[in-house]
Amino acid sequence: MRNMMRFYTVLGWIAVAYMTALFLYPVCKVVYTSVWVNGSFSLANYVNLFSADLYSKVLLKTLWVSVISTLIALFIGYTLAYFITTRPASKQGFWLMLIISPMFMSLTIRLFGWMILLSKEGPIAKGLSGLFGGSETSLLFSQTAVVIGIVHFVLPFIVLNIYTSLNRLESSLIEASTMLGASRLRTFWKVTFPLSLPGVFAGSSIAFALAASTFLVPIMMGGPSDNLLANMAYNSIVTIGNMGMGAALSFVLLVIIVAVLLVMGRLERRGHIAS
Amino acid sequence: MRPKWRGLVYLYILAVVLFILGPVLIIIPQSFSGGDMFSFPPDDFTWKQYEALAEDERIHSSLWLSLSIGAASTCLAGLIGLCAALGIVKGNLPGKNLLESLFLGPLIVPLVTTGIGFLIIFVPLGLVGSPLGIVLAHSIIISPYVVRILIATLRHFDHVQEEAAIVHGADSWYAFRTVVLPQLLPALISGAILAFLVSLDEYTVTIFLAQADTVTIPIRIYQYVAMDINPVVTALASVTVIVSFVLIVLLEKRFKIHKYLEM
Repeated sequence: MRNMMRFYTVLGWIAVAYMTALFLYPVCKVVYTSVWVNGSFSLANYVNLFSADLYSKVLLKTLWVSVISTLIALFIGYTLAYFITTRPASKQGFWLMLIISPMFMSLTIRLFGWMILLSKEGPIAKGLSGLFGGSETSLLFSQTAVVIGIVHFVLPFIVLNIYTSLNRLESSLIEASTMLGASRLRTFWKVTFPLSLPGVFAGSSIAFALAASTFLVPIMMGGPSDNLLANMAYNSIVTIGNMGMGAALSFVLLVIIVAVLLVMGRLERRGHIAS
Repeated sequence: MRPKWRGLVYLYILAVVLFILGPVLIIIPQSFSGGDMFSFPPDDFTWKQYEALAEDERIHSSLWLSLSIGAASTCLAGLIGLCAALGIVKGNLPGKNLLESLFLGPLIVPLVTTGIGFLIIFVPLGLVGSPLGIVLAHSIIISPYVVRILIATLRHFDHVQEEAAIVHGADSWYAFRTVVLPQLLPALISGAILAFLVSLDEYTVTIFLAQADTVTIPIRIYQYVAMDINPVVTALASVTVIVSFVLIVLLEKRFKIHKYLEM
C-alpha cells in the first residue's frame, strides 16, 4: 500500500505545481502589479481607489447591487426550494431540473433573452402600455435590469443549496412538532427554517460572490453608468491602459468576496453544529 | 392548506417559472422574425435567420474555435482534476485543507482578477491572442468542477478492492488503471461535461486574452447582440437553447446529474 500512497502523492504534487504556476502565480502577479508603481512600492492605486469619487461610487454601487440581488434571489429561491421539497419524491428531480436548466445555457444567450423581454418593443413594455396606457417605456439599460439579470443568474445556485439542506431534514422532527400541537407556521419557523440555515448561508455566499464579480450582466443589461467593479477594472486596463489601477480594483473585489465567504462560512458551520 | 391559499401558491410558482424560463423561451419565436430582433411579437414567420446562420463564416469559425478550446481545456482540466483529487484524498500531501482551497480557488477568485493575472503573465510569453493561452486559462477556471465531484466520490469510495489488487501482486499503475479508474469514470465524465459547458460559455477571462482571430462563441454572440445588431444571432441562440434542453433531458435520464450539482 505504501507504493500506492506514494503514487497518489506524486500525482497530487503534479496538480499542485500546475495550479501554482497558472493560478497562484498570476493572482500574486495581480497584487504585485497593483502596488508596484513606476518601479517602486506604492499604495497610490489604493489611496486613489478609496478617495476618488469615480471609484468609490462604483465600489458602493457594486456592494449595493450584489446585496439587493442576493436578498431577492434568496427569497425567491427559498420559496421555490421549499415548494420542490413538498412535491412527491419521484417528481422532485423533474422540478429541480426545470428550475436549474438555465444554468446549462449560455449566460450570453440568457441575457440576450432578457434584452428582448425588457426592450422598448418587447412584450413587457407593450403589455404594460396596453394595460395602463401611456407610452412604451423600457427597463433595459438601467440598474433594475442589472439586478434582474443577476437574480436570474444566481437563482439556480441558491435553489440547489437550499433544496439540499431542506432535503436532509429529518421528517420525524416535523412530525414530532406537529404531533406536539404546533401549527404548520410555527413548525416552519421553529423547526424547518432554523435547520435549513446552513443551505441559506451557503447559497447566499455563492450568490453574493457571483453577483459582486459579474462582468457580463452590466455590459449587456445596464447603461454606461451601471458599470460595476469588474467592468471598471476591465476598462482601466483595456480602455485607459492603467494596468496598476485595474489590478488594484480587481484585488479589492477579491478581498471583499473572500471576507464575505469567510463570515458566511462561519455562520454556516455554526448552523451545522446547532442541528 | 386551504384551497384559497393553494391557488395563490400555484400562481406564484407559475410566475417564478415564467421568470426563469421566459428569457430562454422567447428566443425561439424571435428567431423566425424577419424584422427587428428586439421587437416582440414578431410580425412574420421566416426561416431567413437560419439560412443566414448556415452561411455565416464568422459564427462557424467561432463555434469551431470554442469547441476545440473546450475539448482541449477539458482534457487538461480532467487530468489535473484527477491528480488533484487523488492526491488530496488518497495521497500523503501536507496541509491538505489549504491545498483543497487552492484547487477550488478558481471558483472563489473573481474571474476578472484571474483574467488580469493571465494577461500579465501571458504578455511576455506571447500567449495573448493565441488559442493555447485561452486553453491554459480555461483549464484552470474549469478544473474545480472536476475536482469537486471527484473528491466527493473518492471520499465515499470502497478502498478494499484496491487493497485486494495490491495484495495479489498488482503494481500501483495496474491497480489504478484496472480498479480505481473504472470506478471513478462516471464522476469524471459528469465533471468533464460540466467543465466543457463552462469553457464553452466563458466570457470574462477570455475577453482579456482574445484578439481578432480568437473570437470565441460567447464573444461573437455579444458582438452580434450589442454591437453589430445582427439578427442571425437569434437563430444561433435558438438552436443553442433547443440543443441544451435536449442535452439536459438526456443527461438527467442517463446520469441523474441533479445529484452531482447539489453542493
